[in-house]
Amino acid sequence: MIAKTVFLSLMAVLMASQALAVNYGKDDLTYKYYIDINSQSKGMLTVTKEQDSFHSEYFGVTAEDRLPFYSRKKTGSYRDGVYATSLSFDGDAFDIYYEKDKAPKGVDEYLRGDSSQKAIVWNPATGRPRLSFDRIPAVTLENILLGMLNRSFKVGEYYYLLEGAKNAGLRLYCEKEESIPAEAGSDVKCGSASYLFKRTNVPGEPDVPLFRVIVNKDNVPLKVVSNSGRWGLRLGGISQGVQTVEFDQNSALVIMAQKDFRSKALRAAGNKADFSDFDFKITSQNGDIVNYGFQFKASGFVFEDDRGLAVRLLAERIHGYRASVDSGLAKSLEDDSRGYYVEVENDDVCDEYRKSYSSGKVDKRCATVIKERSLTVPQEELNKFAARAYGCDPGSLKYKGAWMGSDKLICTSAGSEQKIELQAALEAYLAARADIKGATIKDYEAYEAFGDRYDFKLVLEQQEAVNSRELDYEAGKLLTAKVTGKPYASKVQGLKDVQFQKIGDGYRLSVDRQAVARYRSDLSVAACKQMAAGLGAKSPMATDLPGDACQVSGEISRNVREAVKALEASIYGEYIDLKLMGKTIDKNRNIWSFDYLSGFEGFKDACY
Amino acid sequence: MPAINRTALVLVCALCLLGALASSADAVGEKYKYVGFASMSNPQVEGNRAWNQRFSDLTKALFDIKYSSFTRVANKLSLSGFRPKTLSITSEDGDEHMLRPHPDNYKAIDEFHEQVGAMGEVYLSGVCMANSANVLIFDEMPPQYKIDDFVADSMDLLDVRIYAYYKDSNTIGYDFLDLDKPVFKDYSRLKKMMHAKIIQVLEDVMVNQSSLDVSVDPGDGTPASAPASDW
Repeated sequence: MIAKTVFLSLMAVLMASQALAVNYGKDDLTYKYYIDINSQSKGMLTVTKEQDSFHSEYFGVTAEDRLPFYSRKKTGSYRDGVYATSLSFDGDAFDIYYEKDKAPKGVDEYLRGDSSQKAIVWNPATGRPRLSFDRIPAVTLENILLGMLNRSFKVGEYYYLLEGAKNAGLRLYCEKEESIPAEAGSDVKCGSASYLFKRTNVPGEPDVPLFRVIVNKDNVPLKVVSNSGRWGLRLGGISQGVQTVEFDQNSALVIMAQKDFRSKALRAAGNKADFSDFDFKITSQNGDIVNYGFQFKASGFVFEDDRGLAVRLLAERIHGYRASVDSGLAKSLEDDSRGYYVEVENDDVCDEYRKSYSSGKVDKRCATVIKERSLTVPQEELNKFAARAYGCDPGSLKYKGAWMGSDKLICTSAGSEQKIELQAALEAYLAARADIKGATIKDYEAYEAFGDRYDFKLVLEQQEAVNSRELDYEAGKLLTAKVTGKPYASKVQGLKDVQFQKIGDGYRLSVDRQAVARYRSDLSVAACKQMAAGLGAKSPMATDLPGDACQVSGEISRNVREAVKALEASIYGEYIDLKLMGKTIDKNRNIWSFDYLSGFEGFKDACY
Repeated sequence: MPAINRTALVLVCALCLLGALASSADAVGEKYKYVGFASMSNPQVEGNRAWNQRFSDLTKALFDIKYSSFTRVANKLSLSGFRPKTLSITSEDGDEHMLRPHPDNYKAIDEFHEQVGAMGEVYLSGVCMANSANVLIFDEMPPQYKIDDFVADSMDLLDVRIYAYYKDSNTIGYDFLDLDKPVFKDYSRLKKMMHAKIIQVLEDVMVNQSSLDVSVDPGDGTPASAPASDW
């Protein structure tokens, strides 16, 4: 990752000097294809086009991979864009003649049948033929790729695929497909057309698809996929020959260490910070250990605007912890010159309050509420009260329940029996209680408590003025829901930075602009300190700066030997061609260099 | 119409008929690829019995070695799908003749080579179909004047040609066995040379046929190419 930037920068410099006009058929261009075998990237093919000729080379694959067109090295010349006239497979060279009179003398001695309709593959080393076949263009895979590129390969015409490892070829042709099949071209970004190549001429058998070639709008073959899926080619670059990449090891190590460090800092910042004034340099070296001192400014930890931040602040204060907040809630916030707020009307608060009681018990403006309460009056207490109130003889008072055909208290008074309605007695009792004022009996019941003694359980109704704290509580719930999306009963009064107010016809929860600014700064500094702590540096230090920036400084150490190994691994990882081509990095003291076939750097507006 | 062409036409038609019959045999489950062999015409040098005998031995040995080497090559390449067979044709006399070196077949063998020379792949394709063969391997001597020059010491090497005809691409492949005079006096060495060359030719044929093999789309959604195929 580190080396990528280092060397892509180097490559960019190299390539800048040789930017090309988009001319794919141009001579001396090398086309680089990565080879997949059974969906695994295995090797590489380079095809270099020259004037009416090509040379190609295969890397990372062998004959055991059974690529039907494999030869370690091929060269070839051609005419009319696609007719192979000479081919060499790993040095095994052949000429191809399409007209008998242009073939070497004596060819007739070997040919059979009508030799005027033959193409002849001639071995100049032995002075003898190798093959003869019907007079159609002989091609290799490379001829097909270049023939498509220069638009010489024709749809529907027959070609004789002649690959070196085989002593006979096969006849094929291609069809343009209506669209690029998804299974073959889903990963091709700039595919424009797909051509399906089929084998033909096997008597008694239908034509069989072999492979397809997907090209871009400029007819550059981007991908070749075997119909069986066993092998495939992917275009990996077009370049004007090999470039030498050279750099100083020590400088690269410093750059790599810095890049490593920056990545680490960014990760420590949760991938959301901007760095500036980055200073990173060697401060000392002790054997294999190199110490790097660093200093930089960081900002941008807090990316929300003030409105979003105000919602976060309110939510954090209400819930007591830093929770994630739905950013859409910021829209419900209103603002004025002093700050941001949400409001709720009295009627809404009253409705919310009313939900706490039975319907109709709270008046329209939430001024009063009729509350229910229960009261148990033991018979002894009622008897004591009734004896006094109704002048009963001591000990004569008895309760005769409804089940005995009555619901009355009965006593004797001056020798005569007196019957007292129980409800009247209870009402008189209530009226006499100093601690219960304004209550009426909604219901009552007599329960047998012990023996023939009873308790009287009353349900009372009592009108009260609504307690404003209860209304505040309901207002707080509604305001909390507006700010946090969670209608939990929360405390909203007495919170730091947050004002809860009763206003004209409602309630307001607000935070002023200064508090938001302070909150931003607090968040920034906390994030910066957290980042500094996560850097694994010796004596990391973070100090806050004006605004939401902070400054970080400290020191880290790296082992040179390990860094060199990492540098080397990153180069091989980034420039995969090196391993495929069996090349190593040339190290001459501190100067490292390697040859590399570039990608598409010269084709700025092209699409692959 | 020249006589040879008229005869050839009759022969090709007969071969095609045989081919159709053979194809129906294929359809009932023949799974092997057949490599068919035909002997070369027995070369003759007028008045030189010793050389005629040598050439006769050469002709017979070249044919026999193909059979004796076939299984060895197939095993070496782990290719069990190939079978050797001796080609046969229906000659002008209306009889079917095997193209192996035997006095009864010499005339048919000469006829085979004459038709190959005149009609080339058109004829060979018909022979392939008639014999249900995928590849034909046959040998030829150089033109008579070269044989005469060789025997008369005017030429050092005799290049025996080994042809392989591939039905599926209508291609003829050429190989050569270069023999000098001393080798004819050392039969053991001559056999070794022939063996080596035939093994190479058979290897080429089998590798080529198996690597180019592409099965027909089975129509059940599986890929068209056989797993063993390079395609």
